[in-house]
Amino acid sequence: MNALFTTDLLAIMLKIALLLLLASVFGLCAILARRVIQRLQADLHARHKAIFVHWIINFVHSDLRNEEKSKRNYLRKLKLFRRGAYPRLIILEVIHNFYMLLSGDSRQSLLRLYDELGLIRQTFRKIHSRKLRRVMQAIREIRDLNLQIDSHQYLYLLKHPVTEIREEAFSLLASHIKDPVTLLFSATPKLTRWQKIQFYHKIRSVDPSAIPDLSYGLNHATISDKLFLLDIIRRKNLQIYFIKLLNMLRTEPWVIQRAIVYTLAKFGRKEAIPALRKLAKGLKSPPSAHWVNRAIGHIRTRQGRPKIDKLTVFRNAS
Amino acid sequence: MSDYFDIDTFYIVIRWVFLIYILHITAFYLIGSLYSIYVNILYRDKHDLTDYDSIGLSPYSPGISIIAPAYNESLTIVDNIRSLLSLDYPKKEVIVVNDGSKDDTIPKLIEHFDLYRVNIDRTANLHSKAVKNVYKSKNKALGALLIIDKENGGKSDALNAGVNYSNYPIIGCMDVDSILLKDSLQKLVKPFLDSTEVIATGGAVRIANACEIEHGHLTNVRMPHKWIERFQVLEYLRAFLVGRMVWSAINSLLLVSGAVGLFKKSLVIEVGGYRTDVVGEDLELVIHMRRHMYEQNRPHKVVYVPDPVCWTEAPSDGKVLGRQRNRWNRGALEGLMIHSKMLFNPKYGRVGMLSLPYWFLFEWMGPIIEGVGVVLMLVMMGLGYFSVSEFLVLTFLAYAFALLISTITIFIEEITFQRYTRKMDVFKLFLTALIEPIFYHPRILWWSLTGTWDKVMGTSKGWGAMTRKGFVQEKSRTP
Repeated sequence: MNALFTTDLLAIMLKIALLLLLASVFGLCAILARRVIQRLQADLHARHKAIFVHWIINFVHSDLRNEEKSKRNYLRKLKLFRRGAYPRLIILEVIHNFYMLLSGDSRQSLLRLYDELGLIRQTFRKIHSRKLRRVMQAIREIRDLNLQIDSHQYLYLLKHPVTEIREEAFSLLASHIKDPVTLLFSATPKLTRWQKIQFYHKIRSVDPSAIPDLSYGLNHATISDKLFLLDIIRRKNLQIYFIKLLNMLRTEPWVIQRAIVYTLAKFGRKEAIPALRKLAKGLKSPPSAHWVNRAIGHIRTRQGRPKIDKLTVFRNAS
Repeated sequence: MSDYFDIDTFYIVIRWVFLIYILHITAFYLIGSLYSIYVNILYRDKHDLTDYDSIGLSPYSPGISIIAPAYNESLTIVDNIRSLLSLDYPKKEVIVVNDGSKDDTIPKLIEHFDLYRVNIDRTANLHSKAVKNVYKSKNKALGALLIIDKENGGKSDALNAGVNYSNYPIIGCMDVDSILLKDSLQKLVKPFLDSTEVIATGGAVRIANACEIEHGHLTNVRMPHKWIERFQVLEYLRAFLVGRMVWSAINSLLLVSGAVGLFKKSLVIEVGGYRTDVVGEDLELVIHMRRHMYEQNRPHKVVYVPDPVCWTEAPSDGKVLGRQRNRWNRGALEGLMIHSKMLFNPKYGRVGMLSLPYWFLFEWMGPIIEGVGVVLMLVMMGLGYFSVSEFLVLTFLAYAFALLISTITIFIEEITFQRYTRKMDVFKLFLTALIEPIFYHPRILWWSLTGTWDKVMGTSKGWGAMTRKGFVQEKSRTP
C-alpha cells in the first residue's frame, strides 16, 4: 500500500499551511494597524490644520496690509512645512477651502501664496504624473482655483488613456479653455454619453454670456452632438445663433431640422416665420409639416403676448 | 472481479484526479484573489473622485424604469416604495408589480398613494400572466410611480409584466425589500454612459441584518449578532469583492444579482425576457443575452459595479438559508443545462471557454467533488490507503487556504469601501473567517448537494417560502 504523500511532501504541505495561516494573521494585524494609523493621522491632521489655518490667515492679513516682514515670516514657516508630503496636502486643503470662501483681494492674496509656495508649478507638473490620483487632483486644483491651462496640456488630458481622466478634464472646458467647443470636437470626435453629460452639464451651469462659441460644433459635430448643442441653445435662449439656425434649416436632416424648429419656436422671433413656411411647404410628410405649422403658430402667439400683457398692466393700473 | 477492478489502480487514478482538481481550483482562487486586489484598487482610484452628481442632475442621463416585483409585502411595501422613489436620479419610473399577493398589498397601496385605475398601452409584449389592473397616483408628485396588479406567476413573470409597461431604454430589476443607496442608480448607470457596448450592470449586494434603517434608508452599518448572518456577510464580501470583480474585469461576468441590476431593455425584449420556468432567472437572462450577442457577432459587456449599492436582509435561520442555497444550486444547474451548447465552445468566446466551464467545474461540480472526496478519503483511510496524518495535513492546508482567501477579502474591503467602521467589526469578521470553514462550509456543501439532487430527481419545489424578519428601525430620538 503506497501512501499518497511522502513524509517530506507532507512536511512541506504542513509548512505551507502554517505560512498561509501566518499570512492571514499578519493580514488581520495589518488591517487593525492601518485603522490605528488612520486615527493617529486624523488627530495629527486636525492639529496641523489648526496651525496652518492660523499662518495662512496671518499671511493674507499681512499681504493685504503690505506688512512685508510679517508676510515673509509666515511664508518662511509655510515653506518649511511644505517640504513634507503630508503637511503639503494639508496646506493645499486649507488654501482650497479658503479660496472657495473668500473673494476679491483676499482671493488674489491666497493665489499669490499658492504661487510663492511653488504649488502652481507643482499642480501643472502633476498632470503628467503616472499616478491616477495625482492627475485627478491636479485637474481639481486647476478647476477650483481657476488656473488657466494651455491648450497643449489640455489636449494631453483629453487624449489621456484613462477614461476617468478624460472625463475629469471635461470639467475644465466651460471656464478654463479658450474656444473649448472647437478643441473638443476637433480633439475627440467620438464622445461617450458620459463625456457629453459632463460637458453639457458644465456649460449649462455657467452664465449665458460665458458660454463658449458653439459654431464649430454646430458645423462639424455628429447628429446626436448637434442635438445636444441645440438643446443648450434652446435652454439658454442663445439668440446669437438665430441666423446660423435659419441657415442650418436648409441643409440639415429632418432630425436636426425638427430640433431647430423647436428652438426657433422657443425664440419666438417672427423673422423665422418665412423660413419655417418654406420648410413646411417642402416637407413631404403631412405630420412633419403640421408640426412646423404649429411652431409658426406658437411664434405668432408669443408675438401677440406683449399686447395682452400691456392690457393686463393697464387694467391693473386703473 | 479483480481482473476488471484493481483497487490499487483505482486509487492511483482517483488520487490524481482529485489532486489535479484541487490544484486547479486553488490556483484559480489564489490568482483571482490577488488579481481582485489590483482591480479593486484601480476601481477605487478611478471612481473616488468621479462626480456622480452630474449624472443625477443631468437631463441627458438615460431614463431608467425600476421594476420591483412584490408578493405578500404589505408590511413594508409603502416604506420600500418611498425609498425607491427618493433615489437620486432625474429620469426614472418605479414600476411595482403585485404578483397576486394574498395579503392587503393592493388596498394598502391604493390608500397610501391615492391610486386610480388607468389604461396604459404596453411597450413590449413579453409573456406574463394576465394583468388585472394598472394604477397611477392622483398625486402629481408621484407621477413616476406605476403599480401593476397581476395574477400570481412568480418573480420572472412579474418582471416580464413590468418590462411590458416600462417606458425607458434601461430597466432596473430589483427586489422590493432590498435597500438601495441614494446614489445607486447613478453608479449603476455610469457604465452605460461610458460605452454603448454595455448590455447589463450589476451592483454589489451587502447584508443589512442588524444595520440601522430609517424610513427605508441605511443609516448605520453594523455586523450582525447571529453567527449564521455573519457567515453570510463574509460570503457575500468574498463573492462580490473577489469573484464578480475579476469576472467583470475580464468581461466574462455571467451573473447580475436579482437584488439589483440594470439591463438594456431592447436586448431583454430581443431575447424574450425572463424565463418563467426556471428558478435562477437572473443567471439565465444574462447567459441568454450574452449568447444572443455572440451569435449575432455583436460586441458587448456586462459590467459589475463593486460599490455596495444594495443592502438586503439575509436568512437568519438554517432552514430558510438551506432553501435559498438549494434554489441557487438548482438555478445554476438550470442555466448550465439550458445553455449547455455554449460550454467549451470557442464560438462563445471567454464565456464559452472560461466562465461557463468555471460554473460547471467549480460552482456546480465543486460541492459534488468535495463531498465525494471527503467520503472517499474516509473510506481510503479505513482501507489503509490514506493515513491519519495525511488527512489532517490536507484538511489543515485547505483550512489555511480558505482563511487566507477570506483575509484577502477583508483586506480589500478595508482598502476600498471600509463600510464596517468599527475595529471590533473587523475583528468579528476575522473571527468569522476563522470558524467559517468548520461550522458553515459543511452545511453549505450539504445544501448545494441536496439542490443538485432535487433537480436531478425532479423533486424541486419552485422557490420555497422565504420568511423575513424585517430590518431594525432606528429609534427616534427625542430632544
